[in-house]
Amino acid sequence: MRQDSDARPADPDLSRTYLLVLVVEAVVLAALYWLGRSFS
Amino acid sequence: MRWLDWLVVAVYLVWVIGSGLRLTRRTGELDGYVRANRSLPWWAVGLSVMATQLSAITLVGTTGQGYADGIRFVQFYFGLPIAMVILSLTVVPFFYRSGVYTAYEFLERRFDVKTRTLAAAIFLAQRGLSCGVIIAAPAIILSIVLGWNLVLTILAIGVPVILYTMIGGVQAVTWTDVKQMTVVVFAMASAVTVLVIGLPAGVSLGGALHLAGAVGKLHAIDFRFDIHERYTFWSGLIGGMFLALSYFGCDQSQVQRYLTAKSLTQSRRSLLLSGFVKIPLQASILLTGALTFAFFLFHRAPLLFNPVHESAVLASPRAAEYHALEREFDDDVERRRAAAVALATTDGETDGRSPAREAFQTADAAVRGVRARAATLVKTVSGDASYTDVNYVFPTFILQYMPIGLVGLMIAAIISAAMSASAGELNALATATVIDFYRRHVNPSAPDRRYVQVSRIATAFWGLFACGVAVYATNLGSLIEVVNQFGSLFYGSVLGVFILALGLRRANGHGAFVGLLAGLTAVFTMAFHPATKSISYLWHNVIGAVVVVVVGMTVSLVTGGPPARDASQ
Repeated sequence: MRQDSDARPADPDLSRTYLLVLVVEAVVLAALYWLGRSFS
Repeated sequence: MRWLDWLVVAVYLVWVIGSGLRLTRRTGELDGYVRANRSLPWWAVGLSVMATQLSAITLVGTTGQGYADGIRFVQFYFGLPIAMVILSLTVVPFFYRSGVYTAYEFLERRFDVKTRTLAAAIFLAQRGLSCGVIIAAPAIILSIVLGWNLVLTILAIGVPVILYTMIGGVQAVTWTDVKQMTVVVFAMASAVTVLVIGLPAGVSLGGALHLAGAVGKLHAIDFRFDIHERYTFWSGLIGGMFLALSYFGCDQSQVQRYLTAKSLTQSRRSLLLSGFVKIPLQASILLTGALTFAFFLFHRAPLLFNPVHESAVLASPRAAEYHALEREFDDDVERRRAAAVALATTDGETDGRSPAREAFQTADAAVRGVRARAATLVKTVSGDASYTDVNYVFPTFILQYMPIGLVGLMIAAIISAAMSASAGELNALATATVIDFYRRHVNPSAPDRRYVQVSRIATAFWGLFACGVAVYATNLGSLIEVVNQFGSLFYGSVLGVFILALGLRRANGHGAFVGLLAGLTAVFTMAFHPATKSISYLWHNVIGAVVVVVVGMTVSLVTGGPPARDASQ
């Protein structure tokens, strides 16, 4: 079984990217809601 | 199709496959063949992840859904970005650091060989069949609308995929996926341009959206909590999140993609790309379907979009009845066109009760009524109770209204979407066959060269198996739903096993195995029992996961054993 025994460099903190994913989703959902309200 | 369209398709196939194979490195070694030596950049992996999901079913079936039912299907994806964040924080580091080739290999480290083998077998059965559907979907549609032979169409799509996947492994799959995604996006942008240019003078894009919106096609979000309603905000957010957690976190066709990234961070970023792009991309494809609806308000649409069914009715004793419906349809379509022009040219009026709006809604209801009666006639004549022509709407638009050259590009996009989705799955099927069965149970100490050789044979086997399934998968209903409904029978239960593995240290192998069987039993019972089969299939993912965790933990606590150590080490 192959194992990765190399020393691991510190992983960059992606918490701002995670937050951005959720913010973008909220904006897209709001846009879809607006689309339905405005054109229905 | 004319000669220029054929040329575009041929050039595209040579370019995509040739350049995909040229970029492969060290595919004679197992790690290079199935994991690309962990050398791929995040954007290529991310596009490959998306291409594997974006099949021809997505292009043809989703636009058809947008045409017929509006954009509400987008709710299906609402849980996906949240799932991407959860997976990036939990599953991805476990898989990446453990150095596994398959997701199921990890289950043996954490539990035991029987749990690993059962999960891998479920994957092979489920993906082998769905790969057939993925190839069948465009083949059936292209063979009907272009008059091609069905078996030859299936082979024309399937054989090139088998060849480049066999030769180049995961690297060829990834690099061809990148190009195929580019072609698909460019082709869809071309289709939208033709749709907008094709609107009559005086009808703007905003006017077209008002027309689609007036009959409810832009109503994207439904906040009602009704488990029998297929797509709501809640079923998409909760059920869709469980489905995405299982699909991206436990399905080898996705896991294998992000195990090829250069580093853990690049692996995470490749998944987060889907988190950013998936909902806007699917909404755009559905909106293209809604725009196709607006386009056909002003251009002649057939009474039935599937020409084969139309011919069958015309050849039957009830042809006169069909001709009468056609005449009625023509009159109703003309009345709807006039009402649409009247409404679209007053699109500043957003009053929901305006006379122009009500006249258009009444005219559209009349058109839909005639189409429903024609569909009933087809069902009676053909005996096909599940008849729907939703998958033929977009191909009809492409062939009748797109200019020469762009028709070839669109056909290339449909073929490439089928190829990219099936290539990723074939590659994953071959990898699971070799790693979880051949290497684990048959020949644990063979040289790398032997495993690569068996991987190539397995790719050919699964490719031919998928082509065989495709030949028999002739009656598929709404294609996108067939694949998702079928997957939802398994996704939640497999997710439950991984929740036990990663989140509950006291869970043991017996618990995971019995829990998985219990989850599958519960979901299959729910899906097919008359009392519960009306529950939306998105909830199957939640039920499956919950049953596996509850039963798995109960059995684990009864059978005992020490808490697990970290299986990622």
